[in-house]
Amino acid sequence: MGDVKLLTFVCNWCSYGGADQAGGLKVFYPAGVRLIKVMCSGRVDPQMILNGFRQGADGVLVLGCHPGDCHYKTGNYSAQKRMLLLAPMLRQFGIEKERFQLNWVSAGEGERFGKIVNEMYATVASLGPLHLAKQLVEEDMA
Amino acid sequence: MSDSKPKVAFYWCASCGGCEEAVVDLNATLLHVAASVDIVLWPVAMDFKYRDVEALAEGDLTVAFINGAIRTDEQAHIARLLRRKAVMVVAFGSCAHTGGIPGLANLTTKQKIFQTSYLNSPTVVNPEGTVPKVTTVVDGVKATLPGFWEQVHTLDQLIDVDYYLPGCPPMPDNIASAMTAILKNDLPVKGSVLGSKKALCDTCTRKKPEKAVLHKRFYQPHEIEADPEICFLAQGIVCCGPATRSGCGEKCLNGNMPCTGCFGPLDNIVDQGAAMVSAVAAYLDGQTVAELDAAVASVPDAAGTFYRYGVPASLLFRANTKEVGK
Amino acid sequence: MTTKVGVFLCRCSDNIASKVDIEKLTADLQKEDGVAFVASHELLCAGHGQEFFEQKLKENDVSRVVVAACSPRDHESTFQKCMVRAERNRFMLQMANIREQCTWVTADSDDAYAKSKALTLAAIRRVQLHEKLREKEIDCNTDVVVVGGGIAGIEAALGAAGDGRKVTIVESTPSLGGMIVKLEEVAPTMECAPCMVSPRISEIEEAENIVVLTNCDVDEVAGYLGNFELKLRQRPRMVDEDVCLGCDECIQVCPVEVTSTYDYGLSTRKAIDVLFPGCSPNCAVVDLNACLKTTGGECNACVEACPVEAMDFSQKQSTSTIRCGAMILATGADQFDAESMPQYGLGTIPDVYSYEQFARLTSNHGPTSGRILKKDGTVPAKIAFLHCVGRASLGYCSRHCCDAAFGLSATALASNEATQVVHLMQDVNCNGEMGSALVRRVVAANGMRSTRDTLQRVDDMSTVSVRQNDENLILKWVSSDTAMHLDADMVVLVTGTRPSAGTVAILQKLDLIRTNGGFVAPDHFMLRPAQTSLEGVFFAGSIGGGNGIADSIRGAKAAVGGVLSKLVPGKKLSLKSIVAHAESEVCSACGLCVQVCPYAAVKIDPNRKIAAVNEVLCQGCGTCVATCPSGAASARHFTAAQLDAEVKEVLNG
Repeated sequence: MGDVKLLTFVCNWCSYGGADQAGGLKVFYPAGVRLIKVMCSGRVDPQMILNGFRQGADGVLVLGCHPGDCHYKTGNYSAQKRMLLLAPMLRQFGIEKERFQLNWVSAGEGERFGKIVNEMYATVASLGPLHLAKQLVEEDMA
Repeated sequence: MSDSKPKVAFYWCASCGGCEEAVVDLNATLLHVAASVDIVLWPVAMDFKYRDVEALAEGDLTVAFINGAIRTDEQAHIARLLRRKAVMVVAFGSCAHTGGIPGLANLTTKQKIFQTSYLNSPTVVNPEGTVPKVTTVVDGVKATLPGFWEQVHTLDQLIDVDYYLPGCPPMPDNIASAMTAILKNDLPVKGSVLGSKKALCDTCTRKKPEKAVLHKRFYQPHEIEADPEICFLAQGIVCCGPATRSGCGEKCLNGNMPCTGCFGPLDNIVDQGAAMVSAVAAYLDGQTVAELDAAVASVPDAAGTFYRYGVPASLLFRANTKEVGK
Repeated sequence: MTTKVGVFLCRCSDNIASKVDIEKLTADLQKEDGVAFVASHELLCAGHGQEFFEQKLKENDVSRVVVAACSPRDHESTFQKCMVRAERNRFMLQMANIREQCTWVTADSDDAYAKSKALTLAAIRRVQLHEKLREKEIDCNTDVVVVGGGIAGIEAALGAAGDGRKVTIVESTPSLGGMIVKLEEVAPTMECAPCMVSPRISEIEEAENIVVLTNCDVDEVAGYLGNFELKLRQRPRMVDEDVCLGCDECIQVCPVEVTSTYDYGLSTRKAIDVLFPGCSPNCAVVDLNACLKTTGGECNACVEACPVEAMDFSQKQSTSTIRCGAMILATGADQFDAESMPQYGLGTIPDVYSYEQFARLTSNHGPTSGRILKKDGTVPAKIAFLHCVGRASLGYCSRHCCDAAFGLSATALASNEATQVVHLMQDVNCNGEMGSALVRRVVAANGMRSTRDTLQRVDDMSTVSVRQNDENLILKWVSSDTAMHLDADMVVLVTGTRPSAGTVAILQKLDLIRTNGGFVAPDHFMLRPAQTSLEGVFFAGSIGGGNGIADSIRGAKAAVGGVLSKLVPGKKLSLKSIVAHAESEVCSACGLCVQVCPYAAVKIDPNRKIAAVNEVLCQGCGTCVATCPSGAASARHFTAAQLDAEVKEVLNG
């Protein structure tokens, strides 16, 4: 398995709790899974995802509360709409669809959290590292 | 030539010439400008040679206005030359600012562009399959063309830029006030975009319904007759206004066409396309993923729509094609 | 200087230290820019650990702190308290979760080391961008407005008033009471409804801190939790409430008779009337659409008859404004209109009654003074109750109607020995011990051969039709592809509930989230069942869907509890520190934030043409921030810069 980084945004109420439970249950997953906490998946700005890829993430995963369970009522729906619109655009930029996912994990779903990150990490690892072209002119001057 | 007058250069890189036209559109103001400065380079209008610029001392040039994106060795060479000579460089227009229309090329590859332009277009007759090369020997004579780069760059990816004048093209008012500000040395902090701090919605006079109208599908401008009084997004027509700097004079809106985003993103926004994703997503309607996907599918070519003028300035910068991946 | 960070590493006994070399991490982090000190401890959350933490802060001039330890869900508040004790701002702390997210889930210790370092560095870079957030408080009004004066509204008002709150009840009809006062014995316990409710109404009349406004509607609501402002419109009753004795002298002489909507068309009443005996206020009211005087005719009968000169035809519609901190909505429900399904014969066949009409027949104050007789004056031998009327078109089971139907059935059986009942139903929805006992009681009292004779199952109630025969009614339907029929003398249509007009109106005015059926939707179906989607607005009773009396009162008390704990007299309302904020120099009033806010906390200020976040309503989710295409909106403690710094660093190593 290649060494890749899976940047994972988790909401404060459900999925962060799910990740904590995975910890409590000692559900192992690769160290390349890196979490960023936001209050709600609705806070995840598409810019943060693009920035994640720009900063070296090989995959980006956004986790929120299950539909209907959002602590902020509809924040996860806002996130879902944004992510569904962003996904085809990422493909236009040559980023394979497997590298970007939105999913739901509740605070009681430690096992599910582990399953989702392990599966996505394995998929991203099989694609290998994402080499984004740098914005440097030196790449063209050669 | 009087040495007391500030020296000014205009140059064009990968652009359409519209920015040059915009300078000419200053009309009478241009005469005032011309009277108060010394134009030392303006290839589209006046006969100067590169060596005239090369002969200048560093810092001799007060300001260089450079329009167009950067894609060839020659553009890079001259832009760097002007940077060395000029106290101030202004990225003039969308292409220099964010990559502009030529920047859309970053969604494909140089190879594909050459295939389309020189080989596969129905109007092209090219049995030998000749494509541009940097060096060609014809009858024993070596001829060179500027190298054509794999990717399109914004001006500030190549050189340090002091100010940006946004727009495709910039509006004569903005150009005139920028000129005045430069000549009076009355400028904001370095790196500023010279223009409004607010989005186009600030100056747009179209009405928004009190209750948000969500859409199960979006329409291309040709698919629906737009009400000239109502917000485009409320009508289900993608309009880049909320994510685009105001200052254009609402020319497209007044022509009953939605904003396509040429004035670029606001100061706090890094990525205009991402901001547009957020804006349009807020209008999506659907209870299920399938319904939402159907609504998403009614926005074809999201990258080309949301980054029409800004692919090279985007966080992703270019499509991550296998040919490019190094 | 001010961005220097103090870093604490917790060994967490061996939970962290067994996998990550804390000494090495200490040494490595000390080399990093911006790090003032790195201190490790055996168990930082323990008492001696907290003392160590505070002591270190006393010794070092740092305002920013990173704790690399367990999950912030476990101990962020612990260390925030330490920060406050050490005279630091609690928001200048960031935790790196190197236990749950690292040592407990990572197999290889080298990997765990690299990840721990990355997570801690990410926290360091993030905390360097933190801002000292203020703990904000605002003044609030603790008065309560209850909209609707039925049993739920009455109990809500008494509950809040019991705590000493000033309560105003806004009731649309001329009297308190609502549905319950129209009933006699109520299911499932078959207690006397007027006996239960009238002492409660008396308590309201006696309470000094409850104001009752009848004949009154809410026109507009502005504001938010702690600071609502309501515009009210009160219709004139043409009788001075303070003078009228509630006698019937005016009624006796009134020449105009109208159909009584109170009795659902089963009786007539005069153009001046008291709603029901013992109504509150006990005062007559003029029907403005029927009275000769108010419809341009000539009459002065009531004025002349009144022994106390209470008549006052100079009354006009009046408007007023009241302020309150919270609202409890209890505007109730109506029954499904069974006349819209002509197959049942309501309105066309004399002995077919709606559930509400039949309830009035059982009432001692009703049109027949509680006697249940056929239109021809004879005792009905068999009464058929058709359940689930309208259920298919409403799209839901109304939950309480089976209880109510068996209650009416029990009353009918008790009132006449010669009467038998039969219930046609898809299923019996009488739950719990009380509900089951009620059904058994009806079956037993009915004296039929088998239970199935009393409770007849019908596959689909919408196939049932009612016809008038020569002497009685015949009911026909299809069950299991077999044509069935049944004779009866009287038919009662047990209808489902739909939102009342008052419910529809108030939910629209407040723009609250509604269920598919049009009832108010709780903010969270399970966690916040008495709260609406707007903070500070609670609800009780059938506004949330059909409810029995116990459920209505339970809901009222829950709503009162919500109000009392949210707003405490003498205490300011503390606001969340983590809220959104819109930069006025950048905002172009595109309105997208308004569109996505789950709390209606953002509004466009039409004069300044910018968005303004109401910090009382904002819950800090940041959805507007992610949506804002101008970058004008920012989320305190979760700014783009803070998150980007964290992202950049967390991807290293």
